[in-house]
Amino acid sequence: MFGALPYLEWRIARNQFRALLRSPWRLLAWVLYAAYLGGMIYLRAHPRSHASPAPSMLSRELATTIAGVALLMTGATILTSTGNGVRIFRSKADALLLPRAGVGGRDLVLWLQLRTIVGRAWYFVGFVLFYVVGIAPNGASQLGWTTLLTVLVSLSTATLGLPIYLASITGLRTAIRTFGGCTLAAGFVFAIAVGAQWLAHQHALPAAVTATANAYLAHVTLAPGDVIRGALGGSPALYLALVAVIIIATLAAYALAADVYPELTEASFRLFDVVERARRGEAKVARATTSTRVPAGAAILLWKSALVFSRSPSAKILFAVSVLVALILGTLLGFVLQDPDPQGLIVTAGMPLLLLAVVGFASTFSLAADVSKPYWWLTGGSLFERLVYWTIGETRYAAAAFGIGVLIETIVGGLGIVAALATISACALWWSTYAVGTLVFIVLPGQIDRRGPGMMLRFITGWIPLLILVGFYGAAFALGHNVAIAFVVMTSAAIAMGLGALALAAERLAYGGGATFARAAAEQS
Amino acid sequence: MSLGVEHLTKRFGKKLAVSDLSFRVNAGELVGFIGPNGAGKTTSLQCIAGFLRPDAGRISIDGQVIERERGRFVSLIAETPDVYPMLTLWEHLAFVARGSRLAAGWEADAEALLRRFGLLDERDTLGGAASKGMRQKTLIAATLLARTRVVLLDEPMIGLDPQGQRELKTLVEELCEQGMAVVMSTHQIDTAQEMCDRVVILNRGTVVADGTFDELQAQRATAASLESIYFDLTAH
Repeated sequence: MFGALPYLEWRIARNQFRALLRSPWRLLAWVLYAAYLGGMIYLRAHPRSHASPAPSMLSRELATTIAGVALLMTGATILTSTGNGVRIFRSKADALLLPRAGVGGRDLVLWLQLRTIVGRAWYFVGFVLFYVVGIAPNGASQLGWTTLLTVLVSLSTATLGLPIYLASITGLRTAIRTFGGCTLAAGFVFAIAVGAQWLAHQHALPAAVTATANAYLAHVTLAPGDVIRGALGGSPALYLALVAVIIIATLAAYALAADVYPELTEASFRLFDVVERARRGEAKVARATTSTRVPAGAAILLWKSALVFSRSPSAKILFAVSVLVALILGTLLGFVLQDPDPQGLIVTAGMPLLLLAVVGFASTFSLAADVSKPYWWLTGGSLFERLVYWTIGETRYAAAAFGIGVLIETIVGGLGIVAALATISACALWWSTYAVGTLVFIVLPGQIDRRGPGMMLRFITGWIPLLILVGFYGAAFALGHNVAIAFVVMTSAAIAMGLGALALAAERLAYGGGATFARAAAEQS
Repeated sequence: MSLGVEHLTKRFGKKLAVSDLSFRVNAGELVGFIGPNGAGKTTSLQCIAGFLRPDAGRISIDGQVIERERGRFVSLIAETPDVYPMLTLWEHLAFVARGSRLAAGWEADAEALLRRFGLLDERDTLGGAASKGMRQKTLIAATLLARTRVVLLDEPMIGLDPQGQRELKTLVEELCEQGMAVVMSTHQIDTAQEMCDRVVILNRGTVVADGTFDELQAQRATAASLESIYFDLTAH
């Protein structure tokens, strides 16, 4: 039925395992990781205490916000699956060689769906074990249910893409896109409605606004939030529904597929081209003017990133949207900051930190492409200088948007002169997190390192630097009882941490000579 | 087995990549596809191989329109040698052999192909660790192993060392002798003149000339080289 496809997957998996065995450091990391998980499984099987599962702590508002985000994700999945570029094959090699597998269109599509399910489940297996077994060994806690829910949502959205795309090429594209747009809009409505309601509960909004909001928000149902709360409390309905979505999506893809191979490859090629251009740092050029003021030394990397930004309409649109989102979120969080209760403080501090934690991952995209270009190696200045300028060039626009959000938040929150310090600190934290992410990528550049311990390491290194910097802030505040001093200390620590990470990264990069990154880029394509 | 392409048209949005392309390749014939960048060579080959859906036109093999499982009849060696990074060179051939349901004993043919390309000692090298030339040779070997009746080569000489180029030329000649229909796109006009039975010159998605070298000279009433004819036809 599946021709040579099982052989292909088996050999790839076997060779990945062999590559792991040939790499002592990677193997050591996997052994430690497996030992840790094995220990946790043992502890779970032989619990010392019989603690009851933690009661549900999720507020209704937060649950509904999660439901809103899930709707946003579903809407985005539908819209991207009906777009021009859709990722159906893993790589160009996959698209070009799979016709040689000797299978028909339907069997191929079924195989692609099954591969997606297995691949995505394997991607998450480490997380599932880590959370369910490692963190919550005493029963089916809310954290365990959250993890299971995350995995099932991820699997269902991943399997939905192919049948939606296949349906869209049969002439239903407009109808499906309209449905996707409505789902996206519903997600926004839930998220905004719940945000406003939460702010009203916090008494953060002016009285007149609160009264008006309450009058309207009384009509907003929180049913989606109740579904999430029920699921996290152990109710099986949502899990079964998601499993049903996965099965139906797989069967639907099989039913819709016929002689669709050209459409599958064409959609994949378009996406590969876009991704490849983005990795090479190429953007759709609006205009190209000759720049005569070219800086000397490593600063040329900063100049290059500015040039790319100035010539890329999509980069400018992204920056404008980021600033807009920062202004809205900054204002909302500012209201909370005016009269924070403990929960409000967690949200005001937690949301920006959550955003920062994912920044480090972004550096994995463009470093390999830039390092493989002649201007990187022909540029004057030490490797350390180059990395400093490169990270500043890569982060300055996003950090500026983030800084604007923090500035608005602190001004609305009534922090006065501290607002300026908080803004500088936010930008420094953004850059520092990116620098640490760059170091992690340089140490673990390959795709093979994105699972198991490598994935966990990336996750942990996204959080630990931030927690250390928050610790600096807390310690400085505890000692001096002055917010301004605490911000100055945290900013200094962030800059020192970023420079330290880049110094280590430069040393590693010099050792690898850039070849590692060229290979990493090839693996990613 | 012959390949027929009639009125092939392909658009990418508003851009017309290939317009009303028609040509025929008989069994045992090698046709050269030449034209400047953006002329539509790769798009045409990808349409014929079934990687792109043409907006109009008919692609037939021995007069029969083949819609499904075109991979059983047509194989394309793409311009960029994309291989699986975690599959060895030998495993690429084994995958194609299994997919093509080759009869027992294909291993000997595969080994012979790898030997001809100087890859036998590298058979266990992973695709991710192979050089561009090695990857290109592997894909060519895999395509030749499958023995499809129509073979499309998109810029096959790029990335090959001189020995590899010479070996490929010999192999292509052998394919034609075995009755396969072969189309080869190339920017090397002297190679096209030397190897191909006929050439199809494309410019801006349309055929501007189709014939043997002698026919093209006769049509233009000139004794000029193929290179001169090419520049003359694609100047605008």
